[in-house]
Amino acid sequence: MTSFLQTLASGILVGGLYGLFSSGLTLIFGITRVINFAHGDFVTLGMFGAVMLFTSLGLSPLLGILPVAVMSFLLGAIVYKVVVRRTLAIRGISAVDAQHGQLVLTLAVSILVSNLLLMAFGPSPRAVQGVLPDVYDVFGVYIAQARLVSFVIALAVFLVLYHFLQRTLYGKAIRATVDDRDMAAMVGIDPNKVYAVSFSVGIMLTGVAGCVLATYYPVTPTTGAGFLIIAFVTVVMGGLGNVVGAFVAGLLVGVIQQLTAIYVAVDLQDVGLFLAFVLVLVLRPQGILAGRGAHA
Amino acid sequence: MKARVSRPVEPAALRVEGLCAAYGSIRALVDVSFELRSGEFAGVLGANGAGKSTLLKAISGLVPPSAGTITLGEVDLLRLAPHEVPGAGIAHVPERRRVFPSLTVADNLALGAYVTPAGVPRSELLDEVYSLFPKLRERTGQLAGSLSGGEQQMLAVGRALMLRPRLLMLDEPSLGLAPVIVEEMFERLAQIHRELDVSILLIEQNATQALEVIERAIVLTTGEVTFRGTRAELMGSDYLERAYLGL
Ligand SMILES: Nc1ncnc2c1ncn2[C@@H]1O[C@H](COP(=O)(O)OP(=O)(O)O)[C@@H](O)[C@H]1O
Ligand SMILES: [Mg+2]
Repeated sequence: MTSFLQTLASGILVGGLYGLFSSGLTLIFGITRVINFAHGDFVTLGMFGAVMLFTSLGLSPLLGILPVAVMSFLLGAIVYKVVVRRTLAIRGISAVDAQHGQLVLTLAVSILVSNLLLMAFGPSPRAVQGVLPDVYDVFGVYIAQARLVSFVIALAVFLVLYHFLQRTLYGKAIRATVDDRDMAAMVGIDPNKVYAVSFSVGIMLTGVAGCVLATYYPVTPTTGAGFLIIAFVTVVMGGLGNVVGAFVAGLLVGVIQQLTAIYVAVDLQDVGLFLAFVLVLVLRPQGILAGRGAHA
Repeated sequence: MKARVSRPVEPAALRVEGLCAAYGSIRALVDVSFELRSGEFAGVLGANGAGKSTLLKAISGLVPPSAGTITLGEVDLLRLAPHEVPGAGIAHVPERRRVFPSLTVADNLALGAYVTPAGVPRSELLDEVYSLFPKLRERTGQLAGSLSGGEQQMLAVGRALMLRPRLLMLDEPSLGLAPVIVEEMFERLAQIHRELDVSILLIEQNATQALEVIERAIVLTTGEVTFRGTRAELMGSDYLERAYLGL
């Protein structure tokens, strides 16, 4: 029983971070319809950001969140301006052709980022050491301080995003643009700016998730590949474009991974994940929260 | 409601000259010219496919014209991106209402005031809209997509008024609504014209209904202006029949 609870707790705690970077991916997709194949690499960049700030300036990843958030937002804005916007702005091509362009271009960004990191830092894992080292014993369930704090931060950042989308005027403008782009323009909302902001915010959330993940998870330049798969599975499970769905599915994915790892085999943890993924696709193709939750 | 504010003399609020627009090889507007004076309530009448909606879309910047000019006061509207047009004081209530379905009534109205000048208090605008359409006040928290067609039309007009526009453009507000609701809607439009300082451009297929409220009209026939004149002139002629029957 304790071992089950232990597994559950680890799954939920890491799942919060999956939920956060997946909500970034689903936000971007829900609003711009762009499938970002470089998404995992922005997790990696957030992690490297945390590691660099820690090793060079001695800055704890908890404080590093701010600079990492700002950098990720700016990076998202640049990638949007330089790469993504071009695929959206072309008139007279079909949505499918535009998506082919996005696939190739975001994949190119992914390859570029991981190889630049490889050139700069080499292939060996790097980690932030000795931050949040405590372990709490909660009725026999051991909870690592780093994991707990990371989870709380992920949840808090997600709630800020949710509040932004639901309650602020700009959040409403974003949702209106998703509903009806031309009508949004007819009330004065600049759809191109909405796209740029949404893309940048999506990347920012992802960078922040990477930053706090670095408190207990070592990073290499290719770490992001695994997170990209997790994010795709999570986003589909949560219902495309559904940010609440993505966060909840993130928790589920974390738990499924941990359960498979403990009760089946560590090497098979992704098999359990894909099994659940297929089940969701068959049973609830609209996502686990279909018809509920906030669609971005 | 606010008393009318007097503005400096504006001979023509909206001036359209030599406007042409096409979708590929389909010519939707051919050399269309007309003027709308400040405070005037004018109609654009014509059969289905005559180019009425295209005219409003061109004014809103959603359809780029191939020739011609559109100016509002001193502003060259063709230089503006679509999202900058509301800032010039033009509110467009498009065909089929197009409320934001996944947002609440209150949020739809809030977005109507997205570019309303900061000095205009939103609460005053909201009161104005709610007193015109009391039904909306009962529905504030409801998702716009769940409203009836009539309520959605009220919301679409209310959302447009939240801009406190100089020019209100309405594209077939009677479309798909029950006759009682249409009657009510046109009474509200007449009231808006009486009480607010706004020019109105109304598009209608339903000419009989439109002639109850408009002061002047143009008739479009396959993209061309085939009639322009006052309501009295229009009622005393057979132009409408010709336009609708395509003779
Ligand atoms: N998006 C479009 N693509 C191609 N043709 C269009 C489009 N919109 C309108 N048209 C055509 O342009 C002409 C004018 O259409 P429209 O302005 O919608 O007329 P109305 O509003 O008077 O019914 C019609 O022949 C219509 O079929
Ligand atoms: Mg039309």
